[in-house]
Amino acid sequence: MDKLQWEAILNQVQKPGRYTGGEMNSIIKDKRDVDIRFAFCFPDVYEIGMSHLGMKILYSALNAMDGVWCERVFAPWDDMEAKMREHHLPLYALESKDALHHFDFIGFTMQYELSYTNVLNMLDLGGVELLAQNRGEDDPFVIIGGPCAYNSEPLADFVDIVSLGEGEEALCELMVLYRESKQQGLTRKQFLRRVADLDGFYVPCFYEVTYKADNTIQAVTPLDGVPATIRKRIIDDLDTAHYPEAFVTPYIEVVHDRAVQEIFRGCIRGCRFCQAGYVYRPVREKSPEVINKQARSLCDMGGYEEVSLSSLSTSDYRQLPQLLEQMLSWTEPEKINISLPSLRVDNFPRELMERIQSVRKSGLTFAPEAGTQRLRDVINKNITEEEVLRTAETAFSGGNTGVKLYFMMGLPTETMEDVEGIAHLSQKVVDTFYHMPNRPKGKGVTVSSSVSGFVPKPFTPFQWEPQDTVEQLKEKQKHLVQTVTSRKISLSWHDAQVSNLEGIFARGDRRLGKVLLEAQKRGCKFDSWGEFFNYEKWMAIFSDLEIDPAFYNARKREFDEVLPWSHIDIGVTAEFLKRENVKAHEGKTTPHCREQCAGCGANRLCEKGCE
Amino acid sequence: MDFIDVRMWFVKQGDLKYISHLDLQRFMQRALKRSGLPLWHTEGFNPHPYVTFALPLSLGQESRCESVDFRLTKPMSMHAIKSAMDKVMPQDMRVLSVAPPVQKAKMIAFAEYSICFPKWAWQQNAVADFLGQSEILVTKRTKKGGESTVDLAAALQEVSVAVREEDLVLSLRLPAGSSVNLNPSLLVGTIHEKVGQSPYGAQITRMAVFDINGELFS
Repeated sequence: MDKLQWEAILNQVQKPGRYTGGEMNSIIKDKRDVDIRFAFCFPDVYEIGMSHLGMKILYSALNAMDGVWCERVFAPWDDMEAKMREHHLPLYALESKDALHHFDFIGFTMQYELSYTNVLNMLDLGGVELLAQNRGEDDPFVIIGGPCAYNSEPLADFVDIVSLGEGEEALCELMVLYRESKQQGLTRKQFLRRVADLDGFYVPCFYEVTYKADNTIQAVTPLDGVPATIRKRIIDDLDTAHYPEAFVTPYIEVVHDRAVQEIFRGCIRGCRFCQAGYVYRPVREKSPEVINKQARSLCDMGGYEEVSLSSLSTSDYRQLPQLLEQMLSWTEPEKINISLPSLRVDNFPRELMERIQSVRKSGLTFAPEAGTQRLRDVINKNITEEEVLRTAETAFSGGNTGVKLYFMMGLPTETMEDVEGIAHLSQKVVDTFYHMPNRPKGKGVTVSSSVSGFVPKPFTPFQWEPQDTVEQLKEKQKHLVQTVTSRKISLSWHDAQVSNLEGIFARGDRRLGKVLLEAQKRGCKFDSWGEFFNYEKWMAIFSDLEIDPAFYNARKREFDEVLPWSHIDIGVTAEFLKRENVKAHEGKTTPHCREQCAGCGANRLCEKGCE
Repeated sequence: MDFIDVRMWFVKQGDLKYISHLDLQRFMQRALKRSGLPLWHTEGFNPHPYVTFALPLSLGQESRCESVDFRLTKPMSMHAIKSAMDKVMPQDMRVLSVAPPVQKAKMIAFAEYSICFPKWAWQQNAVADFLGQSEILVTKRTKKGGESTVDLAAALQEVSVAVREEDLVLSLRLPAGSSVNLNPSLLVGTIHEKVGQSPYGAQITRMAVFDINGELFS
């Protein structure tokens, strides 16, 4: 890369610090000692990608291997992209500044369906052939992982390898296999065939999909003797699993600029809309001693002023008070905040809470998800109105005057009465405040209710359900606005058109590959950003290619339909998901895992079973 | 609470010139935390290590004379402080020296800059002629959002226009500090406008900072 030209470009773009690398704890290796180069890509801007824990873990795990150099790549903002295209500067990795097409592997972590076009655009900018079938012997292997990889079919045309489940052991095994294959002089195809036999790896080109006349899938047929189903990988023992001693510490401000310490994986709750609640099962906890040691190392090496304890539901960590006691012994003197996202404050020791600054500081957020008890039972969100109100009261008496409530709209079986319930519950929180004799004086209350459109996801009990159309959602939004009468309630929602596109790709199949290819050609990118999202353009593409988007998201699927992801095994069985779907329609709840095992099947993945 | 003031001098160069002043502040607080030095924290609801910079540097400019002040809760030798900071500062922001502050930041009056126009040596005479004018009027945006006109010719001191291989290199002093401050990018913009556009823009480096008597700020 011409340094002078590169600097001239950087002087003309916003936030050039996104493109320079060189951060503390970033890893530079001598190319002479390296035989495998891995470009770890996050298909969004630097500030978002650098906040992502999974990328930090895998970056560290791969770089811990001799001979493997993992580097970071982010999507350039459009001002930088324009300059790069104008000056023929290919997309490069931050550490070596080498172009993407020089790497052995290009890995993308797929967090969100609306980042699919960024994957294509980044490959294009990096000088990499978009279609996997056109890549030659010297071309990189494109590999994806993350939550969207569980149904990777819309991306199947563009990826060589899909990593299913937790990657810190699996990716290292893949590196070893690659090194062996290279030494043995295997061809690209021969290597991929071997990958298909490696646990946790799905190689789409070895699976043929055939369709029925009604467009549903006839069969997914394994070719060349590859396994008929592919099971996700998990880490058995989180205490001994790789965890970074240090994070790459960005110079520029990123979204979550703090130490993040994982405390457990999986979730006991079984909320029926939540994909994370199923795909990350079974629950596995780290011990307080390991967490404490790892968190301390991250803070020492990064100089952070805040450490966040990360999991899907912090309150469900069984030894939380013991852990906090251990951590406070050093965070207090070093003036480091502990932040506890997704904490249920009602059953938490008050004395401990008062020692945790950030809990006091940040306002209270609560996710009832649905407005009525009936609908909360349908989605198995086991929170009662009384709990919401009691928690709000606790928060108000502690001096808080702002409460955030999260809801979803368009949930299965939802009626207008349930929609009104969102307004009623919000109102009850407002009333709770004014009924308190000891409420904070001289202040009004603000209840911010945020409503997102429900998107049915694969590997949930609602994977067979139709998604509300844009028109239905808009109608419900209108009704909700009319039901809210208090000015103490502020309503906000996600764009229904965005939810619609997300829903199409979430349960899409391979035939959507040509839609993505066309979208990239027509300039779609950063679809999760309001300033770039162009719904009309997307609908025009579907129409021009004669693909009906409603087939993918607005249709009820039968239990016996072959789903595009039927050959993927996440541990949780389809039989369990069907049972949960039936119970949802009956309005019956399922107790959480520690109350009673519901027999989801995930315990088969772990030698010692569930925790 | 008692504290000891320390002034650390460091460079800011290479890719780190793309780190904004605000980001540099956060970085410095973290570097100080990582150093293990007995830092004095600000008091109040959200305590953080106290840091203050003498003269902010614009995004994209390099420097060989940046300084930051911080405070320790107990006395230490300057040598020990420097070695602690050496371990946590990156190469492109390496520590030059550590000393007790002598002057207050508001004593700063001038800064010396080196401005390199890569592969533009052939414009030496044109640029020298331009800078030799008796008046160079430029419009400057004021903090309040308005515009004012300044005469760069009157503000410029100790100007030299030299050639280094294919590059054109200017050396000059401009008023700097809290009362009057002229950003060298103003001059670069005017040269690009009036003399011509250089092929690779300009690389600006702050070389030294002076007080009103022309002595080095210390």
